Amino acid sequence: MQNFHSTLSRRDFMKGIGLAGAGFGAAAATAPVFRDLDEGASIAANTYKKNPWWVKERNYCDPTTPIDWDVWKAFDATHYDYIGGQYSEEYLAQIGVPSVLNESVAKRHERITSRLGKPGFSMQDWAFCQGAKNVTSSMCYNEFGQSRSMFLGDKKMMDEVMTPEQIGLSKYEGTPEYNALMLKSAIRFLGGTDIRCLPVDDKTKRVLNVGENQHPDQPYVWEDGISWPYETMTKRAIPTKDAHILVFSYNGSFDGTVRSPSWISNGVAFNQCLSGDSIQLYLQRFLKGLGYWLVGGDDFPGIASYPGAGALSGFGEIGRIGHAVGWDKWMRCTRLMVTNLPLPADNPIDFGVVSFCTTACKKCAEFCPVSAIKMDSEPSWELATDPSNPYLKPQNFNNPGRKTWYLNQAGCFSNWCLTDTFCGICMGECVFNKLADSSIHEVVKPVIANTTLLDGFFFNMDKAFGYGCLPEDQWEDWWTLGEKMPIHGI
Amino acid sequence: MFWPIVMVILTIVVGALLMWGKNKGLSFKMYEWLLFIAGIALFIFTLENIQGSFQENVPKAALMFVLVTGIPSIILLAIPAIGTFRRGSGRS
Repeated sequence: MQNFHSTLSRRDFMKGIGLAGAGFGAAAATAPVFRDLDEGASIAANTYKKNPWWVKERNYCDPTTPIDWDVWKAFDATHYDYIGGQYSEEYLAQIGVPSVLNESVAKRHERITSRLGKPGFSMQDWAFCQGAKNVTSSMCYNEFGQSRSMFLGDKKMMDEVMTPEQIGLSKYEGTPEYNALMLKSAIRFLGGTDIRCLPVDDKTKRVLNVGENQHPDQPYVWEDGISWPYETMTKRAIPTKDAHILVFSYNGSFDGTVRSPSWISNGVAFNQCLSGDSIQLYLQRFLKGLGYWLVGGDDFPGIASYPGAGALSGFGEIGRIGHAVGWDKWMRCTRLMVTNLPLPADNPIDFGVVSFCTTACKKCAEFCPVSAIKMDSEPSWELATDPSNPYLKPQNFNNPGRKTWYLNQAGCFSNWCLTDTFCGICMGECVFNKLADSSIHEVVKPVIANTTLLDGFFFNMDKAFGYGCLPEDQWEDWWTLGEKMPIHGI
Repeated sequence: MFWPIVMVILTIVVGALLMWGKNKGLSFKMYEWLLFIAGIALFIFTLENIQGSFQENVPKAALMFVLVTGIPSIILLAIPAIGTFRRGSGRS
């Protein structure tokens, strides 16, 4: 019988119970209730805006991209042109620009079949690229029958929506903060991610383009004395009364973008635009149903500098890449709209992107096949340059008055023609383009946000750890992701 | 569910090791406790990032985590273990 007696004392037994309890407590702590204190605080406060502790908010209209307010003004996108006249006729012919823009059926077939068979250019990829093409905007018509006209939304769809006044009710009223939270909920339901807001004043008006090259005879004009926007064949009028700027974000597909340049990344880029258009059109109808107006731009180039809007409103910083780099999942686009729904005002943020690009990182520029991104360590006020190209007219696509790394968009577009894709290598390689599955990113980001001492180390580790675009032999694995393919690729 | 299970298993293993050491009459110095806790933390960090790297489809990063943080975590765990066993075997 003695052999069955335990040698464990009561004291040791209680110690074991305590240890097991600590272990279960740690296990509970690892369960995804609140991932961090910020999320817990945000949920407690139920606010529309959630920035982590290491993202610093700056003063109003003072982004990490310095702006010369005497020079920077609304960009005249009615003359937005990043290829025409930017190169010699011989080079344009060499990269296939005339044929791409005005292609015969036979030439098109030859172009497609010549690429088939390579990784990223399979039959499925071509079909995917065609299927994901942004068709939303092409289905939008204004009252004049102009296609791709999304300023007031599609006329037929908008006419079906009744305002509260039309059914004998007062229009909806809400506080600015609640309105922003409400819009964020709507945007996320529609596939977007987040919202930021700006007031309309002399500074923020400059983010909007003068007009767009798809409807160059209809510039955007601010008008006093009107309560609802309208459109004619000569202008698109936006009321100044009670106007607020709404900037929303929507994600792209990380898996698609790291397969750049290919028809897969093409399809992803197309689909991304489609998402933004859909959200825009929905919001226009939604707000009309509340009794408010909401105007937006055509699909391209848009009502505003969207990266600029993202930087001013606090979505991110303009890095070397020329996009608004965000603090969480980078792969987001931002889009600007104007409304009379009361909204709060947000400020730019700083989490170390510009300083990282300045002190340590030129990865996007190093990987750019046509050197369209500047390799200068410091940002500058100088527009894009190309010493080898005397035809370059950067004033047609760069808006002066910001201290940044101005992108040579003509060079970028030339690579689109050469590869028959939207390229996207820079986005796939960007050090800030990361998913959120590994906790190392949550360690690195706060450090980058607070000091530049380790920027060089992190840049080297990013390369050593193999982050960036996938090798070509893995591109076709896209079609075997199956259950692993995120919904909407996001 | 993965990480709660890992934490439970680690707790049981650590608890069992401590009880076994106590039965054998082994003692643990303060600095050994600190090294042990740091080693466990780094080990868990390594496991989590290996799993995350595979989920992010960056297998090379998983291998680098084994080298950069995994091996140091093993070293941090080995130092107190060796010290404890040496004291214990020296006594006997």
